[in-house]
Amino acid sequence: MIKKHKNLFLLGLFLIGLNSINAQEETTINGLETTQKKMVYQLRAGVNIGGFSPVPIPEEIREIEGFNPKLNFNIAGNATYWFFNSNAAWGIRAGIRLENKGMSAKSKVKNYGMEIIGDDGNRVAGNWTGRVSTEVANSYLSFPITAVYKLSKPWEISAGFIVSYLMDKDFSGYVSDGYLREGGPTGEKAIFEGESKASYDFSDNLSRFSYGIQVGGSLQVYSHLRVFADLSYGFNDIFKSDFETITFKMHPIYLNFGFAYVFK
Amino acid sequence: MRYYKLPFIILFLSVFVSCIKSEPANAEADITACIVDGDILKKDPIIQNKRIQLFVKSDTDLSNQAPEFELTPGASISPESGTSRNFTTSKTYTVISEDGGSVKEYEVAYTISALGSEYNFEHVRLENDKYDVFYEVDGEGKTVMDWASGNVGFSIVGGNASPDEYPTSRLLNGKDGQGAKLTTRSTGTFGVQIGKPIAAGNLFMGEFDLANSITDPLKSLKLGVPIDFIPSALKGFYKYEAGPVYTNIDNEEEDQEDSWDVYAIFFETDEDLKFLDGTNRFTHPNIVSIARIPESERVEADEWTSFFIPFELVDGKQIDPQKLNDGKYSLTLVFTSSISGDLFSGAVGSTLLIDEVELIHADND
Repeated sequence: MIKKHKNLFLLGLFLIGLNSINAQEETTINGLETTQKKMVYQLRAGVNIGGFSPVPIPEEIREIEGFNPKLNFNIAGNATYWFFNSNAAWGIRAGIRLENKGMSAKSKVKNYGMEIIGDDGNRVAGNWTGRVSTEVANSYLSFPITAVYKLSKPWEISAGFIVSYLMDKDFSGYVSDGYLREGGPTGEKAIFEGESKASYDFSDNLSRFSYGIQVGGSLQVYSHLRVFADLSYGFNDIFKSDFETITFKMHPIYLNFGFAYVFK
Repeated sequence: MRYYKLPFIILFLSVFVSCIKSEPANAEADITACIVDGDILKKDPIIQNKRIQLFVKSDTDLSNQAPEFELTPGASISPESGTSRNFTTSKTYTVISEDGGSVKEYEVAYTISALGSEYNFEHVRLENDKYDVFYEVDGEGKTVMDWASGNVGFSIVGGNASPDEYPTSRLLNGKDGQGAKLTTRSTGTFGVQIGKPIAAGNLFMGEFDLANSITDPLKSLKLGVPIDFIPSALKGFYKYEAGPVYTNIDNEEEDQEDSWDVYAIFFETDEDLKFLDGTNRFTHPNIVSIARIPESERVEADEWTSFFIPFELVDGKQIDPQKLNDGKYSLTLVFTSSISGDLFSGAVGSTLLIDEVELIHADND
């Protein structure tokens, strides 16, 4: 956690630096819309709410018993280049966002690929039927590039692509109240009941890079302040391609919302 | 102003495509129960993952038996349940799962011969390509009994251990021919996680119920096989070396010396008691007699050392010859490399070697 806070702090410094560059660029265009500049910078703070999920949910997952999206803070900065100098204009926006994506989920599964791994490489692989509890706490450095369109004076919508780099990772959990068929559905059967549970940790199997789309919008609430919401969806599996234990692809689906401070 | 709904509509759509699908067909292909007609059974069928053993009375006609099977819901079996077959040799059945994706072959064997009284540990097979299983044969070489052990449990936590790294394995150079080697093993991180940090080497007459071994390990020891003689003493040869560091179930070190154990328990079965387990093996009222090595002899020995332990009749117990003929008495013989191994306490590395074991009884003493 200390590492994450340090990263947030460094990003904050970076954004403050951006702002000071911006301050030196003050220009007036054609004597009109004096507050409207071609380059506009924003500093954003918000939360991510969502989860990592297979899409669609595969038949092995029988029931979602509990889900907590967690409060995942993020901080971001972006720069928008406006092509025209009017209130209904197109722009292109590039940003940098330091974000946490986490969740905790409890589900009931049937015949679900599982591998329980210990520190010493000791492993038990097989097909699990029963409860699975999953905790995810990842942090990413993300780079969204979006097209922005002004619908009206206060409203803006945007859509584009996002590339993320995984910095801190944790994808782990435990299985309980069920049974493992070792090696596959016809393997030896071992029942876990009551207090018996076994943990797993797939953190090292997470893929470093992910890419996807982001769509969203924002609304001006005060002269320098906007509220925003962006939905992002990762196209590629969050696990490395050689990871075969979980037999389906999992995608991050997150709604990022919060406040944006606009430097103008 | 209606645009503010946009992100929520998209979110809703993504949830919509993520809804729970209908339940998949079963992928398992188990025989869950085996039913045979009449009262020919001396013991409930032993159903393992790929093997079923039926201990039947000596007058059973093995040439025409039609066992019936219960399967994982939706699975099918070939030949069909209830088909008459000649079981003078073991027969194979093929079970196919409901989803068609899993196929499992079972070997079904009827055993008519009674268990002998001398155990030399010469017959070993490699089970699941992973670990050794000792078995006893009759005069014609047919399997009469498999010795049970916790090896199948270790196969789940033991990773890629070779057969001689399992708790129970063959000893190539026994006292005479092969013998049995029982070694207390560490079960690694996974074993610690499930509260079973060690696996003592063990060898016993009965069944090891793997499915329940994680949740209720003492009950997973199903002790006893039918026997048609009255044992009076147990003898054999052993070597023993205790491991250096004794640990308890919490994997904490204790200042204690490990010890081995051997005992034999002769007991009566009835409707309520088919086998003894780890909770009642010394105390159940159906126990007729017990032979257990005294503490003074449970010591280290680096040469083959003999033991001789008489059975002691429990006060007031008598043996009914009719019940003996009817196969109502069972016996278990248990060896372990750590005396408290059933409670997951012992010293990793404790090694018990055994060979040339014999149960003395009225016909052979």
